[in-house]
Amino acid sequence: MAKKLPIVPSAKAGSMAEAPSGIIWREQHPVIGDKCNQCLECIMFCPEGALKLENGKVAVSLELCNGCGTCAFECPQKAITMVLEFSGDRGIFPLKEGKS
Amino acid sequence: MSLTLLTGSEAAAYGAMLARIEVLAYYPITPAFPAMERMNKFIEDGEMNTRFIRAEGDHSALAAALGASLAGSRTFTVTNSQGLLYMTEVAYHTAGLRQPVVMAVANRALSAPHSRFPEQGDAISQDASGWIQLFCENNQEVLDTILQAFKVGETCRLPVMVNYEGYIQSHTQEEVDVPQLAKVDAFLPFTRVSALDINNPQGINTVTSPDLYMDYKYHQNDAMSQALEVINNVAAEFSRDFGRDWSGVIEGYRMDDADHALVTMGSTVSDGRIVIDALRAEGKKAGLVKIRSFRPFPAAAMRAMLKKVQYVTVIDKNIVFGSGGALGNETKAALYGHLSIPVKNYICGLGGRDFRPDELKQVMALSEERAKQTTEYEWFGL
Repeated sequence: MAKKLPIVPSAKAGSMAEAPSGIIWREQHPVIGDKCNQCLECIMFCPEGALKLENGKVAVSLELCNGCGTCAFECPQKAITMVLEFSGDRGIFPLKEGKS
Repeated sequence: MSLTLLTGSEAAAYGAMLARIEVLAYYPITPAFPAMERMNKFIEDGEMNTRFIRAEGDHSALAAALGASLAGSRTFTVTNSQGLLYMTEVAYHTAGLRQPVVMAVANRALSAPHSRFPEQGDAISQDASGWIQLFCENNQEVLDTILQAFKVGETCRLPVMVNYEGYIQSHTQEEVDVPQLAKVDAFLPFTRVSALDINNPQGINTVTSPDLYMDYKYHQNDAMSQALEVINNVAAEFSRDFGRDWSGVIEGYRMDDADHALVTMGSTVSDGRIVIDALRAEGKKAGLVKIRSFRPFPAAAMRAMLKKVQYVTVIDKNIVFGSGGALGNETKAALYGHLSIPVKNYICGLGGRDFRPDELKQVMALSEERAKQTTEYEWFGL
């Protein structure tokens, strides 16, 4: 099943941004959900050091995150959702679905 | 409506004028150039409200057209042969970014050796570019197809090439019925779709990783497949509004009881009709299959049309080196595994070599004689 994408290949401004580690080429980023119990496993696994505890909550640095999804994969609570960077429905011009 | 004498280039210019194009990006090349001259006259005379961008090369011309289209303009360009090759990189961008730019192509042979004469090799070089490719048999069809091309392109969000042969069509006058602007406006309303928006800035054509690239290509190809139906619907709607039926993606001429089918596209189709009529007068059951849409290729419709024939002769005004004629290859691929009819593929009329109706008749006779021989393709007229 092909992913639903904008018709014009496009992404939000900033999805490719300059960061201390060089140019980040990211197509998704983590969003920490309510199920997070601050076990901090994600911080242990993040290869970029993009996650940290801030005011008692796990926060994501989008300057450092490379969008690999390791945090979401490792989270024991399944509290992390990877959200795609492309700009949703913008630019979608509906054609009939599923016909070829 | 008014009946007038127009060359193919002028017919293309009239089509663009009636479609109310907003941006024309162009770099001059022979034999496509007279279309630009005529459009400039329309602009000068105030008949077209169009921004003309004089580019420094064909690559830039299509880049300008692509940018204008992303900004939401109805955009047009014209080129052929070397210009089309030089545009190739941006042609793939335009298709991948799903912009409905319409391009008239006055088909001309490719260098080397240098040539200025008609052949369809330039269009064939773009067969994987993701552009819808429509071929016209006469100048009326050029004008009408430009109008249909905008509607097809804007519906499918794909760019469209409208092909007519250099000189044979681009520089030859024919009677053309120029439709009234009000009727065209009703047939071809314009909805502005702008991918560029200063209030919601975003990156267009961003680097796409293996996670998404293939899905984008799936959707692009899906749109191309759906275009088969869109082209048919738009042609039917055009026929209702203007009384001229160009029959969508494919047309069968006297095919009902035919046992020998001549398959071709472009100007050879109009010669083909004369030859088929002559063969019918001799009592031979010959028919013609006109491919109007080379991309997307109407394989299923072609199979249905060739179901009952014994002989298939495919005329190609192009050569894919080491492989054969492009239309011959598509025909064989469409039939393979479904119908076991010998397909004889002839390479004819390259680089402007004259290919007359009597020669077309000879080729068909030759094809029947050699139907049992398993040659991949043959050259005619050397």
